[in-house]
Amino acid sequence: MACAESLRVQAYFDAELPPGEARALEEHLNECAACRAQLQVLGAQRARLRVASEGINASRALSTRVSAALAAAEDAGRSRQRERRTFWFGALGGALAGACAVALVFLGAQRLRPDALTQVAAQHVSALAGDALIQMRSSSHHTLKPWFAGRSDVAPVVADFSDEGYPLLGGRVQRLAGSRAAVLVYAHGAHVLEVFSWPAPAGAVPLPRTVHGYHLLAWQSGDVRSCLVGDAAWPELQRLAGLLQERARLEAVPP
Amino acid sequence: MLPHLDAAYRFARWLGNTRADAEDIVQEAMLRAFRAHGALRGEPRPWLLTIVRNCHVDAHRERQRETSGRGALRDEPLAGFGPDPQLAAIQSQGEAQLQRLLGELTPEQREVLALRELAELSYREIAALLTVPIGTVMSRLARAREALQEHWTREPDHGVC
Repeated sequence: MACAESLRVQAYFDAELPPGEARALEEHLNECAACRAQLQVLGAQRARLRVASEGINASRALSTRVSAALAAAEDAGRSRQRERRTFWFGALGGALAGACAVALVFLGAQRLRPDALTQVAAQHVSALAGDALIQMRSSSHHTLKPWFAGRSDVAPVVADFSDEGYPLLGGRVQRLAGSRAAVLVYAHGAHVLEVFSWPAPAGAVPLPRTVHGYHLLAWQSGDVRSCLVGDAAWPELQRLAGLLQERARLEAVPP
Repeated sequence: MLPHLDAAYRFARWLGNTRADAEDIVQEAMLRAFRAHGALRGEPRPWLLTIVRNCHVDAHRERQRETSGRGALRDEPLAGFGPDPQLAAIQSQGEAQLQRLLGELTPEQREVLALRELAELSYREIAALLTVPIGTVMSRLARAREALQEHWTREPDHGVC
């Protein structure tokens, strides 16, 4: 029953044929009933397997277990980095000239810079997994902004963008890169997006990247570094980042 | 919650692991992915699934070493969805269904089908991962699909046509 073209039909089905060959095979399909039947069987198999697979999901227990393991690995990574730094500064002991120290501080900053974003991703994931996502539930900047005062090292831009599809749910304070970062929690459809803000000298802002599927988008306003994190699509993150940056610009200008 | 966790677990189950083994493999894979995320090029999902596959191979090798050390059979097949009453009782419907659907495939066939259908890797990517020529990927995949179809037609309630 199988036609000699059977492997090529499979390759066509798997979208592995270059366009020219795919067209040739389509012509063959018009004439060969066996290959048409094969194609139909392949499609039905795939659909069947997809449906069955969708019924299989990781348990909540597994999700919690993996989150905990990742958080532990993150902590271990941080303390290793601290040890490395202590070692270097100890070894230097002031024996090296100022130029060397400057170079090292620069290198250290280089190494630490990506780390802050990784921390943001890890903290976002563990906040989603736990129940400490929101410490202060409010969409009003009159409530939320004063709440951050004294709790966080920065006074973040607090704005609700419900009309744009990004309602503000609330905020929390979290230790990040040695300071108390302000975290704003936004909803966007089924996604939770968070904005971490912490004090950081103006400098090269880390490039956008993705950690464990979570997108990270950082920017700098004055001496505050902000990073938006979430599993929504890039354009949706960029839109919220744009709204926040515009608000920051407005607030920075004295009336 | 954790991105791709379901996909990773699903994949580990496709490869023929019991629920408990699949969970261990997924945890190990997520940790490896976490430590190596700097090495990520391209799409995260297929990347993660190939890590799951490697963890699966390692776990299996480990198990084989343990059993062969005790003088058991060396060429023991991959742990399949063997009848385990305790497990069957808690298996969700979807898992039971997949068990029936993939029932008679060899580990090799399951693997190539999972890489193609779940991880959605290209022939070239599968060939690189398994270190076999592309022709072998194509014929192995064809045999897996034929076996699947044969099995489904023989048991009418699983047939697709």
